[in-house]
Amino acid sequence: MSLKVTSYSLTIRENNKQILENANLELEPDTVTVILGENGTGKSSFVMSLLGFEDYERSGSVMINGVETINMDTFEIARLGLFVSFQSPPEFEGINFEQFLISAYKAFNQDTTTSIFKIRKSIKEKIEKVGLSEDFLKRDLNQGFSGGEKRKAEILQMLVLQPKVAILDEVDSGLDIKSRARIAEVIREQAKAGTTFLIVSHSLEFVRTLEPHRIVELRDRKFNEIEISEIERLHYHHKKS
Amino acid sequence: MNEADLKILSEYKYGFSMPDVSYLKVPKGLNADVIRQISRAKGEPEWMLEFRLRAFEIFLSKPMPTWGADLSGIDFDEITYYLKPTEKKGRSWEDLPESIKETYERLGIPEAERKFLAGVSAQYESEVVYTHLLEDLEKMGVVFTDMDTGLRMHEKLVKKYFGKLVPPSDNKFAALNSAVWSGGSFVYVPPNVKLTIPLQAYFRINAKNMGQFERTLIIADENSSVHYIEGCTAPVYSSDSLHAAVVEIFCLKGAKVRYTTIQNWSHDVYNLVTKRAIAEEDAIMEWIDGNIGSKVTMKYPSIILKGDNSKGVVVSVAYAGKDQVQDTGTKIFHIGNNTTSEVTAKSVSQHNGHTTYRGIISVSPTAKNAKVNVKCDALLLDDESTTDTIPVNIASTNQVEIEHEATVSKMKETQIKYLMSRGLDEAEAYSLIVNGFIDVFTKELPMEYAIELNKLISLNMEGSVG
Repeated sequence: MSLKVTSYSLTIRENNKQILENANLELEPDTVTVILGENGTGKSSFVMSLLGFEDYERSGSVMINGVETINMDTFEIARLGLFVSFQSPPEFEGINFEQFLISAYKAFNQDTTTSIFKIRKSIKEKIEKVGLSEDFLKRDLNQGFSGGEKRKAEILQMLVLQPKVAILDEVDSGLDIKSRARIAEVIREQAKAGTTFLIVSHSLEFVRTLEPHRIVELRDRKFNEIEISEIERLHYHHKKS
Repeated sequence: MNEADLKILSEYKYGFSMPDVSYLKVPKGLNADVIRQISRAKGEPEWMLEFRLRAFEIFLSKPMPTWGADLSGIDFDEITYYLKPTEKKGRSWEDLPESIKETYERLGIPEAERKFLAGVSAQYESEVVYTHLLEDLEKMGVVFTDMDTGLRMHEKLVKKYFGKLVPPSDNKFAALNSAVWSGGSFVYVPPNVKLTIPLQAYFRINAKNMGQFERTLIIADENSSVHYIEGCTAPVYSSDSLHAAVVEIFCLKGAKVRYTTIQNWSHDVYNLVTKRAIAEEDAIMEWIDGNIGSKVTMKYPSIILKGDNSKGVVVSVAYAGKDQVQDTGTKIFHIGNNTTSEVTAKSVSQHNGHTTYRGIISVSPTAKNAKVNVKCDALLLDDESTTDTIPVNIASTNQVEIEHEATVSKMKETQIKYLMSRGLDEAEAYSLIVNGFIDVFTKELPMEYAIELNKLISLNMEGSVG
């Protein structure tokens, strides 16, 4: 198992809202799992909580690649190979995107031996896959990025960092049809290359293109397995978007 | 900068040495006799002694500044005003605080340089490369020497310019410097000579050049250009607590001067420096000024835009960590027509440090079409730290364009979280953000300085620099 959440209870400290109660979720290696759920059920809170931020009160167990992370610091959890995309990533003045990717690659993988030139080369190879141009790398990180550019930038980070587990939170929203298809392809490819995916999305169309192995629904503070054929009945989804 | 330049830079950092002829020992404290002794030991002309004595009178008559940082910790009677270089050499490596040694280690400063910076050794060892460079400069007619030698060898030139831009009456510490100055650099660049390699004081220093009361005079003759780099990013350890320097720069018609400083005095030093430049017609003056060290710094590099079409640029950064006060800024006077000034000031405060941006931009009534652009940004890394912005814009004419922008921002928690979610620990996340924030300054530095500055800021943020 790549990610195993057991008896997990989760409350948002700020408003005392309980999101999960004794919930369980286990992801098999190299699979794609989709989480669905109505607005406000706490899908984003759940995925962010896995990074160990102090905004959440939590109990139970979160194993990443066999290591218990419930009491770990964010950076230690990340270094185990967990990547979570941000829906509203913060902006950084004076740190260009490429420079950030290099720092992040080294920190995330605790890699001090790979040369900067090699990392740069790998970034350049990946940038086309997400549909961004090379001059994009010279811009300050997230500064003035459009919604779509932010999503693509998060995907590019995932590709550069090569995590064992990648959690992508609504990375398809705000993307045009072509970009969405491209991202779905990147995810499928990356899953084959050895990354386990957990995807949060509201777009049924996107979910279908992903060809996920499993779908779970977050409802009543638990994860419930649903059949792929069942997703049409979930009235809260955009049939088209 | 091309590779050949870089190679020269990295080679000539081994510096050179000059024999020292001084055997003077003066007691602590200051009086007219001490000043006479200093002047006599240096074999100075009579007019310089008179200049010093007059400055000493002014120093005594001027009150301490009543604005800016708290200077009550300075005890003028406890300072040694002149040290012969051999005395400086006398300090042993073992006496140095552990924190300083560790910092040298972590910055990767070579052994010979460490000893010099720490005041253990008065000079670097190899002089060959530097001598070649000096010969090349000499062929072009460039003078680049310490101020004492400058006075001996080029008295007429020195007399014409020395103390004319920063007179002893300017302020109490300029008066003190004028009375007891020692060391510093003297630079003269002849007309139409454009130097492509920066003149770096740090690499050519012997004990004479760095002291508490340096005096630097730069004259860039018509249509010449020069980049002068003072100081270094490695921490300079001083057992004395006051550094009061004066820098005067004359940019004659069409000349361009860039003066780069990264000040990193140890954390017990009061760093009170007067820097001023005058730009004649079509001249450009640029101050690139970084303040990382010291206990208290008060420094406002200024530019008098006297000639038509002259331009002044100030790019500065200040970092105030634990118990540090960085009171910095600039003064720019627009006098000629079509003059331009651009000021970019960045400050970072952490661990109860305090930064102040204090700036005056003055446009005289007769200055037509002046353009002013001031941007100052302060970043606070925690709740204990503070910052003030005190900008004064005086425009006595309406034929002026003034843009002024000031921001204060706090480190955003989401930025730290984001970086940590990508595997950076807290310290790495902070330094990435700070280095990004000051990037506009770092970009102006020669590469090896930029790299050292980034490392140094990270070390300071960990609180591990003594």
